Amino acid sequence: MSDTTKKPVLQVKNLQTYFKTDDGIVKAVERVSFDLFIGQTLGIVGESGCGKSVTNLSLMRLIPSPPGKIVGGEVLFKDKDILKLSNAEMRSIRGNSISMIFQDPMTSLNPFLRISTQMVETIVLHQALSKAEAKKKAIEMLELVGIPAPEKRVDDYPHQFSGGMRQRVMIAMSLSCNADILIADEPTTALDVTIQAQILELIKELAQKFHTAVIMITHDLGVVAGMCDNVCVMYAGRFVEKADTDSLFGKPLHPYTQGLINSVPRMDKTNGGKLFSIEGQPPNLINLPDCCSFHPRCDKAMDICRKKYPQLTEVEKGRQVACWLYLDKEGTENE
Amino acid sequence: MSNKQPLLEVKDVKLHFPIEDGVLFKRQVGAIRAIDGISFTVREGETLGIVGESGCGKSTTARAIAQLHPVTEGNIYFEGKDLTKMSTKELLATRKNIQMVFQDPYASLNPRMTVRTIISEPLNIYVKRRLLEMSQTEIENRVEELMEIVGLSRFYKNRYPHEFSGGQRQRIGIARALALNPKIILADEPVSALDVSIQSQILNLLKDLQKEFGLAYVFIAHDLAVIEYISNRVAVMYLGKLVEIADSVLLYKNPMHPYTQALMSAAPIPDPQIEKNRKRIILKGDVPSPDKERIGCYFYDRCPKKMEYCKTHIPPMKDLVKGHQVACWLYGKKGE
Amino acid sequence: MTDTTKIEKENEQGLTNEFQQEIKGNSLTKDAWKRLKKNRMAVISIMVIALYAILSLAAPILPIHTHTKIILEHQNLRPSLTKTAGELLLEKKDLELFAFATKQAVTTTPEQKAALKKMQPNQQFDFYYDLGKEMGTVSLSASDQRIFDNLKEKVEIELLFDIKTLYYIDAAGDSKALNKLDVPKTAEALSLLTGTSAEDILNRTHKEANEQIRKELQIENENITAEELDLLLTTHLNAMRESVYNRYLKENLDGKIVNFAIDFAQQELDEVVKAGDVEFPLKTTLHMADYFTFKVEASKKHERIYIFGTDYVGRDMLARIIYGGQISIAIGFIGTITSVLIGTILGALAGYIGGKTDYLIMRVVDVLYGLPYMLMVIILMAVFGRNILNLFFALAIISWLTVARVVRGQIISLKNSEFVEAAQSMGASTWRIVFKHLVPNSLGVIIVFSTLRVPAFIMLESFLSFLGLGVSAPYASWGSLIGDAVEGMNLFPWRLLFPAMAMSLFLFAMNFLGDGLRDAFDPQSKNQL
Repeated sequence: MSDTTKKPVLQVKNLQTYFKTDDGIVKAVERVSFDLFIGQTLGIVGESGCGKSVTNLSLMRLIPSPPGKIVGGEVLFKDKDILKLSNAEMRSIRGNSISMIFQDPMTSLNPFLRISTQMVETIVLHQALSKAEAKKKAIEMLELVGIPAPEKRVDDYPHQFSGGMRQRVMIAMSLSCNADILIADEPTTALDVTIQAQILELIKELAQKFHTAVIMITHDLGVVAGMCDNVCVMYAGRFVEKADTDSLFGKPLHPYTQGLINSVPRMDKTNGGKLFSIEGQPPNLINLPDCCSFHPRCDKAMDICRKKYPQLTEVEKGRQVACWLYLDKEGTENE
Repeated sequence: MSNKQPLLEVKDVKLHFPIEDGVLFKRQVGAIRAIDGISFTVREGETLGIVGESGCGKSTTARAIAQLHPVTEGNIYFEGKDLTKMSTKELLATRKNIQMVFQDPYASLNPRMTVRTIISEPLNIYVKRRLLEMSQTEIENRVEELMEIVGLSRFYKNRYPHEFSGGQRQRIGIARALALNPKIILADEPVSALDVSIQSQILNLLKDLQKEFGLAYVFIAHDLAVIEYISNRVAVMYLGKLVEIADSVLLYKNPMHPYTQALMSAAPIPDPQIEKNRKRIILKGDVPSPDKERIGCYFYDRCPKKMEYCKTHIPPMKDLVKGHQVACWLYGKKGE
Repeated sequence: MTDTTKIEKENEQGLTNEFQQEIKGNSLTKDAWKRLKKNRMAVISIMVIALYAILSLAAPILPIHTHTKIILEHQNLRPSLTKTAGELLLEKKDLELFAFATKQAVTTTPEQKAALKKMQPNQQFDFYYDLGKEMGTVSLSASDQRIFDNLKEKVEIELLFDIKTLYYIDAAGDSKALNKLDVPKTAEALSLLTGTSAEDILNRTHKEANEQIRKELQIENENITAEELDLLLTTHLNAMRESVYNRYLKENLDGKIVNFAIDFAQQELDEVVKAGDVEFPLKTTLHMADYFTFKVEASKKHERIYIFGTDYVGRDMLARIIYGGQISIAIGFIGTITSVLIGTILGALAGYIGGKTDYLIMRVVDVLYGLPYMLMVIILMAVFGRNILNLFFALAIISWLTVARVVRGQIISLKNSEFVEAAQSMGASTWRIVFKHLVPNSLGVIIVFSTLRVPAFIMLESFLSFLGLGVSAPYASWGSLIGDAVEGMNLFPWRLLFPAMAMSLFLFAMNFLGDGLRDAFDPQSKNQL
């Protein structure tokens, strides 16, 4: 893709986030790396508990500590390492350059404050605008995300909006400061299909308009297929496959990705007979040994899978996969 | 199929939750019309899928059938007997055949009980009420048998639910529902809280169980693809009313109601090629609140094909093709 | 037939999964316990509470003095770890006499006079004592010296007798324990000692008992005229059950016999002691006038050591604090258990059934809430009489209200959860749902709440005792000890300090434990993923 020649706006290198629990260390995010370019939409897909949300909280440095800690890696935002910034510098990035929308908008909106108060606060905090100007901007943003009669509704409280409308408000808030990066953490999981379609369309449209890079965290492969340019598949705290959307869906390489795509019932095809299913449960991340974490559920598991973790390696142009099926077993075994 | 007597018949059921007001003396000032007159039948061994958005009354329908909420109007017949008019004793005896599986595998299992206690609870209740004769060892054996059936190791029976993953918990819930050998299982969004890879396991399990025990399902979900996979017939619900009911193949090939059409076009398909070339019908606005009485089509506010006539006339369910009913004025106005 | 998965196919032990990770079984309660163990304050608190529990339960067999034994000479002795009561008495006397002598001997400067005026009496004594010692010229007068020497001698030889078991051997030769004899028999036995007829003795005892009851009535009803008192006494006596009246008689008679026994022992043992070379405590069996045998334990009266000092009638503070703790802690726990039981049952039913039941129960709660609880307790105590059982009862009646509210709230938030719907769809009865599903799930809250209730109960009881409405003498509770001590607070601070410290430590421990439990039962508590 032509994107690769440009400089990425966000570069994550070998990010590691661990949680300390009573029973041992949980490697919630283990050596995760990716680049994000301007205008790109990157999907991170995986099952619950695989570490996709923790990845993004780590980017925002919002990991609750203790028990969590970012123990290694770099997050370069415009060539500055976010992990080394002071708290004050970090605050100015949060909500301004990188903003986030969550699964449940009710938890991220303060139920006691009017929408206008909350929006104006954010805008004034990050931009040199007066309160009146900020309110004007807030109304503008609300109109942009498709809230009817924004002049009136801007003074409402969050509970006066429906779920979909609240998510729109959240998007308006996060984009009101012309963020470079929008992290959307399961933005439509709590919403109905028809509303989900509205919100996804909206995010797509606004990202194009503002040249915002979007990180889309979801468990829904359908959402990924419709929204993202590139996809990272995450399993047990690691990326197991990275590819552009078309090739990922066209020819998934990792057995987990294959299983995931095949186990979704599809209404455009007649699902004769049995649905494919990946057996077993995702592993418990506490004190996971250094083997392929997918091997107990994998039908192509080999001996080496039980002994050593396959590093994420480029097997085709722009495609990386962490699976011994595609790696040079001999070479690594001799190491 | 059609010559068989239906196992379950829901006839003109309405369920309104009263809204009360008043400081000292409560009086009813309105009602949430959770279900506003629906009828359908379920035959032995078939799966009826009910699909709709949240708040459309699909979960309430399941609860009304299970007699968890008393219905405001209408009748529910199970094997020809009216559940709504039964005595407590009779109801308990009949209930054995109607069991539920719930949406949230975390909330539907009592966290203070072991798996054994959870699965054996229905058995114990029926033994205690003398509706079933079983010794403690028989119950124990039955629990182990049920655990094997749903694919759980019987060595887990002394564990607590929070030690299991979502999928395993849902298996426990299914084992509990199977304990009394029911004829019909009301599954209220049993897979929507599960991950994709686990979801397919549970769907396969439910299909296998149906084949083995000849169960009928009322399967509620908001995911159209899941519904298509599991159902023989599908009912689409909107705002407490059925808008379309048809054989699964017919419905997905040719959705007739504008709402069904919109729903189908909004559901994402995990294929970027298809997604890129799809034209979506994006509905405007939200589902309105079900607290007022309506004189026109319930979908009127959001319908992309609305007509003046729809505003003041409620469309009845009409048989268009055999096995395909729609409630929409597009397919023939009154008098035409 | 179904897709039984690889991971779930496990061996009997089921200890590890595919990744050799251990799979541990754990109930929520165990989990909470694990978390509680990590909380150091809570663990220390548990140990403190256990210590208190052991002390109060083992009080009868602990090597401490009897908490009800009154030794008037020993009143208000200061606490000391090493000095005996006799030494303290002599010290006190020495200080008193010497200071007095100094006061007589010296003339004070005006500044000293002014300073003395501001002093408490005991400080004045100390001042004179120091002054006399400084001068070194003052000595006791001959009479004072004699007083001192007399005391010294008394301290050395005076004995304390503890009559353990007293048997009466009647004419037929049967021996019976004194406390098993009925009133006429006791009078008969006493007549053998005094020489007067049993009838006379009974008559006198009746009179004395009436007098005692009269006195008690007088204390209970101050500002009463003599005629009114007589009237009250008559009605009171008429209303009194015979068994209760007999108890007065019996106590009186027993006391007299025991006194005889003590006198007898004194005479018998005096010789032995004077002969010297006896080890104390001296345990022996004596026969008195052919009719009585009793075991007696003689110890030197003034060799007792009071590590926590004594109270205003010379009772050992340590023993009183331990026995007082027994009652305070018992009130705390029993009150909590009763109130939690009532509150849980009513709150759970109100919460689950809802509607009219809920309305009715909660309005009762509201009304009771509206009444000042102190007044309620006082009224209840006044109506049913002052004893410990009634105190429990009164406290339990007023304190289930909050429990009921808390439990009701908890049940309401749980009753719409899916596991309750599941139970309903299985046909479970209301009783089963409430007590098998809902209450166990609110147990965490209930336990935490009860732990925090115990200190509240102890405080309440102390408050009542402090006001004189709680337990009455000879029993003690921490509150009554503190109440008694307030009078002499300046002169005898230990009487206040030790019970107050004992109580505070227990309340601290209870509160820390409650906090620890709250953290342990709260799944969202710290250090959890």
